[in-house]
Formats: sequence, C-alpha cells, structure tokens
Amino acid sequence: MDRQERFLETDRLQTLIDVLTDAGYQVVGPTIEQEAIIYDEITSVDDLPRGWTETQEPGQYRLQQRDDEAYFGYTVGPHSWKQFLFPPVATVATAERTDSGWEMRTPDEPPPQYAFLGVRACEIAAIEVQDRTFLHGPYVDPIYRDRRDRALIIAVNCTQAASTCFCTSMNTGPRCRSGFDLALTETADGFVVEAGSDAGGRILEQLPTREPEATDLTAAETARQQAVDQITRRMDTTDIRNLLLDNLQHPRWDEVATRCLSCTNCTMVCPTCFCSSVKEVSDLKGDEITRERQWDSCFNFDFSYMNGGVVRNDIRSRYRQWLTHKLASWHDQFDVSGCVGCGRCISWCPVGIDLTEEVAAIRADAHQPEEQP
Amino acid sequence: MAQPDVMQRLREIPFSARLPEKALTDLAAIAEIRSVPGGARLFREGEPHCCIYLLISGSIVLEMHVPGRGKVQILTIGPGDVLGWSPVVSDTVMTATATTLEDTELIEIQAGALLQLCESDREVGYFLMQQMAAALSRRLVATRLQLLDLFAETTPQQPSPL
Amino acid sequence: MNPASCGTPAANPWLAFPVQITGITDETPGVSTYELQLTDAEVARNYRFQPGQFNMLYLPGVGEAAISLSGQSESGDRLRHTVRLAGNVTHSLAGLGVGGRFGLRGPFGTPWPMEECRGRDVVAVAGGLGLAPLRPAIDAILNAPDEYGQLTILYGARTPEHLLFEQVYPDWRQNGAVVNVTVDRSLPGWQGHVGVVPLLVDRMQLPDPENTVFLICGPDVMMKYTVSSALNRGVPAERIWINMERNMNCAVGLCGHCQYGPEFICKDGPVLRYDRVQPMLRVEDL
Ligand SMILES: Cc1cc2nc3c(=O)[nH]c(=O)nc-3n(C[C@H](O)[C@H](O)[C@H](O)COP(=O)(O)OP(=O)(O)OC[C@H]3O[C@@H](n4cnc5c(N)ncnc54)[C@H](O)[C@@H]3O)c2cc1C
Ligand code: SF4
Ligand code: SF4
Repeated sequence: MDRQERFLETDRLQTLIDVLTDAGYQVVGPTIEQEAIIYDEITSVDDLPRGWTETQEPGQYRLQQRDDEAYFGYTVGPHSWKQFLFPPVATVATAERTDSGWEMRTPDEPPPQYAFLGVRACEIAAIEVQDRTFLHGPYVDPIYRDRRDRALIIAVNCTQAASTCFCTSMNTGPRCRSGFDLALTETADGFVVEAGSDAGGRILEQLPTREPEATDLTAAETARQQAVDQITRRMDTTDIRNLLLDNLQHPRWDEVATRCLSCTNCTMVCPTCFCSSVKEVSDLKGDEITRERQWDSCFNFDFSYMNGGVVRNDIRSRYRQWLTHKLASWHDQFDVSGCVGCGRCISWCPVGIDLTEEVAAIRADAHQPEEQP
Repeated sequence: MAQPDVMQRLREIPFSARLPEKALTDLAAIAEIRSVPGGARLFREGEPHCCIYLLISGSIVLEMHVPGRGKVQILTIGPGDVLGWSPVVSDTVMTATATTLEDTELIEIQAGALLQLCESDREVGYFLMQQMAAALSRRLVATRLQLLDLFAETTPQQPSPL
Repeated sequence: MNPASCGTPAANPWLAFPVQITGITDETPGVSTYELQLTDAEVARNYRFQPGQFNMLYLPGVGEAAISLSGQSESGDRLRHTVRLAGNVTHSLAGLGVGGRFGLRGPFGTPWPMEECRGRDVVAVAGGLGLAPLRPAIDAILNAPDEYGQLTILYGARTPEHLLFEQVYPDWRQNGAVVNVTVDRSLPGWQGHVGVVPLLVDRMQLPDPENTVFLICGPDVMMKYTVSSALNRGVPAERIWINMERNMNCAVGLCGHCQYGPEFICKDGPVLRYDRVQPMLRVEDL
C-alpha cells in the first residue's frame, strides 16, 4: 500500500507531543535515566535523548554522545512497551470482607490512554506477539486488553542498528511495515511521517507538516538503509522448532548451564515474555485484599513447584525451558516465534550469553531424528 | 503323558503363547493343570520346592515373614503371571510363602524336568529362559514402582502463622 | 477449549464467585471432600462443568489452589471437591468448617473425552487422589449404561487406609462396573490385592483393545507405566488419555507456570491425549 507521506521539520516535533496531549493521550517515550535510555512519561522534546546513542555487546550497554542532534539515534534499551501494556505489577482482583462473607471484584476504573512515541519495528512485532497471548486465546486478559485497545503507536524507523540486533533474521524489521498509527523516519532536517491508521491520520492532519521534497525522501531511504547495513548478527531459523525439540538432550544445555546465573534478566527485558504470578496483598486486619499480578520468570527456582517438588530443578532445564519456549514451543502455542530479534537478552545478560550463539552451537552438532518411514 | 488341554492352556498364557510348537509339546509333557481351592498353601518361605507355576485363573498372595511385624503381604499374583521361579533360577529355598486367595487354576511344571529340558534342547531352553527373563524384568519394574511409594504425600506442612 | 463451551460465566477470568461450604466428608488421612454452594443464584444457575475439569479455589488473603471437581450433589447445585492437605490454601480451607465462605473461579481445563467413550469399553485407571477427577466421568458412564460399553475401574492406593471413596465401590459394582483395587503396602487384615496399578492392566480382561478408551489419572510415573502396559495390550495411543498436574497460577493460559513443552496444562490440559504428550514424557524436568 502506498501511504501518503508528509514532512515535519525538526523544530516542530514538540507539536506532536502537544497534539497527542490535547487529544487526551499520556505520552510515553524514550528518556535517559540511570545511564540508559528507558521509556517513561514525557511532556516535552527536552525529555528525549537528543544527541545520544549507545553501544551494545553481549553483557554490555553503554550510552554515548552522538556527533549530531538526532532525537531517535539509539536502538533499544532495557525497557520495552510491555511495561505499559502488561504492567510489572497490576491488581487483577480485590476481595473485601463483609457481614456475609467476601465481596469479590475485578478493577473497573479505566486505565491510562497511552501514546507510545518511538516504537521500533521489532517492538511492534513484540506487541503483536503479546496480542496473541493476551487477546487471541480462549481467555482474554482484561488488563492488557483495556490498555492495548486505547494505545496509540507512533513508530520510528531505525536508522542505525546495535551489534546485538538481529531483526532481519527474525523478519521483524528494521522497517516498520504495519501495526502503527504513525511512523516517523528521522533525517538531518526533520521527519518523514506516514499514517498507518485512521487514528494516526487524524493526528497527522493536526501537525504543521509540509509536502516532502524528493531529497527528504531520499535522505529517509538512505537513513533506513544504514540500519539494514549495520545488522551483522544472524540467527539461522531454518526448521528451528524441530532442531531444538529434537535436541533436548544436547550437551550444549549442560555447557550453557555452567555460565547461566539463572538471574531472570533475560525474561525481564524480553518484550514478549509474559510469565507472572499473583500474590495476595492484605491490609493489617486481613479484611481488604488485593490480588497483585507481578512479572515472574521461568528462571525462578520455585516457578514450577508443585506438590512433591520443583519440576525444573536445575539451571540446565530452566535455560532449556526459556530457549525452547522462545524459539520452538511458541510456534505451537501462538503460531509465531517468541523472539523478535531485539537483542535485549544478549546485552542485559550479566555473563553475555547470546541466544544466537547457543542456537548455532546446537545446530552445528545436532542430533538428527530418525527418518520417518 | 500330557493332559489333553495343557497344550491349549499353554497357548493361551502370554508366557508360553509364542513358543514354537516343538517347545510347547515338550513343555506340555512336564506340565500339569491343577485346581486349588482358596486358602491353600502352595509353598513356604525358607523351604525348598519342586515346581514353578503359571496362573490360569484366580489369585495368589505372596507373603514374607518380617521379625516384629509378622507376615507381610508383598504382592498379589494374578492370571498370566509366573510364580515360584526360585527352583529354576537357583537351587535355593523359596523366598516367600504363596497362598491361594480363591479357587485357583494353575499350570504346575516340574522344575528339575524343566531344567533338564532346557539343557537337552538349548533352543527350547533359550525360548523359555527368554520368557523367564521378561517376566522377571516386569516384576522388577513393578517392585521398583512399589518402592517409590508414589502416592506418599510430601509431609503436610503447617503453613507459617505469619 | 472454548470457555463458552465449558460454561465459564465470567467475562473476566480473574473474577471469583462467592461460595459457601455446605458439607465436609472426611475421606482418608489428610483428605476431605468439600461440598460447595455458589451463593450468587444467577452464577449458580449458569454454572456447568464437564468431568475432568477443575476450579481455582480462592481463599482471600491466602491464595488459590487448583482442585478438580469430584462430583456434584443430586440436585446439581452443589459442587464437590476432594482435597488433600498440601500447603497454604488447603490447610486454610481445612480450618474453615461448614458454613465457611470463600471464592471460586472456573471451571477450567479440558474434560475427559466422554464423546470418545460413547459406545466403547472404558478403563478408568487411578492412583491415589487421582480417583477424584475421574469420579464425575465414572458417574456419567454409570448413569447412562446403555451409551457406553463395559466400564472397568482399576485403582491403586498407598495402603488400604488410603482407598478413596471406598464406600461407593459396591454401588459401582452393582451398576455394572468391574472394580479392581490394589494397594502398594498391605496392612494386617487386608484381603485384597497387593501390587502396583499397571499390573492390573497387564492382567485385566481386554476383549477389544483397539476399541477401548483408557482414562488415567495419578502421579506422572504411575501414568507412564500404566500407559506402557495399555500399549502392550494393544490399546492405540490415541485412545489413551492422561490427566497431568503442574504448578498452576492463573488457570487461563496467561501466566506461563503450567507449561509442559508446548502445552499449557491449564487450558490445553489437564486432560491430554497420550500421543500428543508422548514425545515429552521421556524427557526429565521439562
Ligand atoms: C489441574 C489440577 C487439578 C488438581 N486437582 C486436585 C484435587 O482434586 N485435589 C487436591 O487435593 N489437589 C489437586 N491438585 C493439586 C493442588 O492444586 C496442589 O496441591 C496445590 O498446590 C494445593 O495448594 P496449597 O496452597 O494448599 O499448597 P501450596 O502452598 O501450593 O503447597 C503445595 C506443595 O508445594 C510446596 N511448596 C509451597 N511453596 C513452595 C515453594 N515456593 N517452593 C517449593 N515448594 C513449595 C508445599 O510444601 C507443598 O508440598 C490439582 C492440581 C492441578 C494442577
Ligand atoms: S521464556 Fe520463560 S518467562 Fe519467558 S514466556 Fe517462556 S516460560 Fe515465561
Ligand atoms: S529472546 Fe532476546 S532477542 Fe528475542 S525478543 Fe526476547 S529479548 Fe529480544
């Protein structure tokens, strides 16, 4: 589909935030905190990480000054939009003691209406992956649904890539093709803007844009191509589901278990991991109870406990659960890969375990199942 | 001389169903069908015994004597099972006491004659010992499962008062 | 499984319905059956479950536990749950007594394949508390004897003291079921069978194995060997159904706890066809 493209000058970016705020959205976007670019509520372009970028390596993430004034010249950091659609802590239900037992309710106050500013292609893919978990199964999660329904996605096409990115292998980026309301490509002079939905179109109409010049469009194309060219990491996904499920006893699982600390970092930063636990939080008298859902991880020792013991008792079986879930059984469950190739788990692993390397090691020395007659 | 339906019964029991015809005839020659009323003792723990049994119908309980606990029932034997292999696999005494729980029909085979048969015709011997090994291994798995005590609850813990 | 077809009335899967304990029956050491009444008349009217499904019993301030439905009262409006003392929730439940009030979410999970059982011989094999989730299936079959073939119930418990629902075996036999019971450990005075459950499968009458449906519920290892005995007897893998227990938190496939390979035990299970999980039963700690 050929979408209509418009051009927004660099110094008019604030109008986007203002239009969104006037339309009732709470704008969430990138900002610098604790030496990383994270996502938080923003009110002004001054909150954006202008002139900053980062370098990423396995086990490493470091902020760096750019030699230009780009607003979106970084890639992905420790946060993802999962924080807002599937909050790390959320009340799923409440119970209140009454004269005749318990009054049990589920929350009904409307959640914030978010506009996400700066969503990357792999992040759109991750949101769509989570949609399958929370919206398209037999049961719908009301907390996710209420946030997702109201959210506006303002995408930004990547103009550079980190060493940890491998979206091209996972077919998720770097170009945003769908799933956004507005998409921006940043050039030296401003932003080429396209609308991907009616809601996005209505916002676009209110912005002080102009018709893009041919040079604007070429500059945008060159910038996007630069990201493609910078992606060096690859993951061979050929028949990856069967590769992993046929190799559940591969020696590599023992090897990676000697390095993995089972710290849960990878599952926390991953934009698609959805595991959680509900805890009871009660007032002092025990009359007012909130059921709080918190992110959990398959790397937690007691995650799989049941009467008689913990099912996944060692790091080997927990790492194997994480990788085979991401790359193999996700296909069975949701008909899509659970990995979008954002590379977060590689950078934020304290010992630099790189899933693309683990898959390659298993593939290099894979057990071939017997041919079916 | 073999009783007319011993052959037939041997064919119906899993232990001997797949034996070649020759082995079946030889086995039938040293086997005898017996009907035993409930409550009868077939053999006693600690004593030598003459025979090995294949159960056709009914049931038999195996008991062992445990000092301080008396007789402990360890296993119930049912149709199709092999019973009393001690005299065939070793020349020691019986390891448990076997008592019928109800009217029981079984095939009784003379252990000495069986061993002779195996010696004189190694091929028949191989078939029979193979069946014996399979029966022993099934029993071993069942015993392991029993040992695992699968239905034992983890000790119920009182939740902490805090 | 489509929630509508399980009769889950809640649009919000997190909403618990209020219930009250109307009766408690002590079964075996540490195991009691609780009869629960849904106190909201509208909810009670719409509540339907199928044999094999479970509820999340919710004790405010304590937490939730997945408990299978083990039956309902004659009138149908009281739900039975047979519970073993395990940890926090089950101990708190035991402290409540008749009249106690708490919450329930459900029903959840896949049911036993009653359609598949129709017109066929059925063998229900249970170990320990596994008889509880099978009981509604047993009742359904015995209540409509013309629709099913021969029902055989093979049940193994730890000792004669641990035999669940012992008082109803005579009724089951009266209604045409073959009931064979075995214990792992005998006690003085026990006249019955001693030995593990798979042995009963090895020995049972199985006139038409290809057309016999096996419903199995018990600890993983017991199910594994029972399946192996059934396969040995010529029962096809796709006629064997097992009921798997895993850590369960949300019960609606959203929290990830109960994953078993590709399956979420809570929504794809707990009842699973053996040929679907067979490749995974071999791998430890999955
Ligand atoms: C589908 C399904 C159906 C079920 N049906 C029944 C049924 O019909 N009847 C029945 O009695 N049970 C049933 N169960 C089992 C029941 O849900 C569990 O026993 C449940 O854990 C009981 O909850 P609880 O709060 O009492 O125990 P919990 O507090 O959850 O404790 C259970 C066990 O885990 C241990 N434990 C607790 N916390 C931890 C931890 N952090 N790390 C390691 N171990 C820990 C405890 O010591 C105890 O042994 C079913 C389970 C499933 C999944
Ligand atoms: S990888 Fe682990 S934490 Fe992530 S969704 Fe899968 S089971 Fe849950
Ligand atoms: S598994 Fe790693 S690379 Fe893949 S989506 Fe999750 S965090 Fe990103």
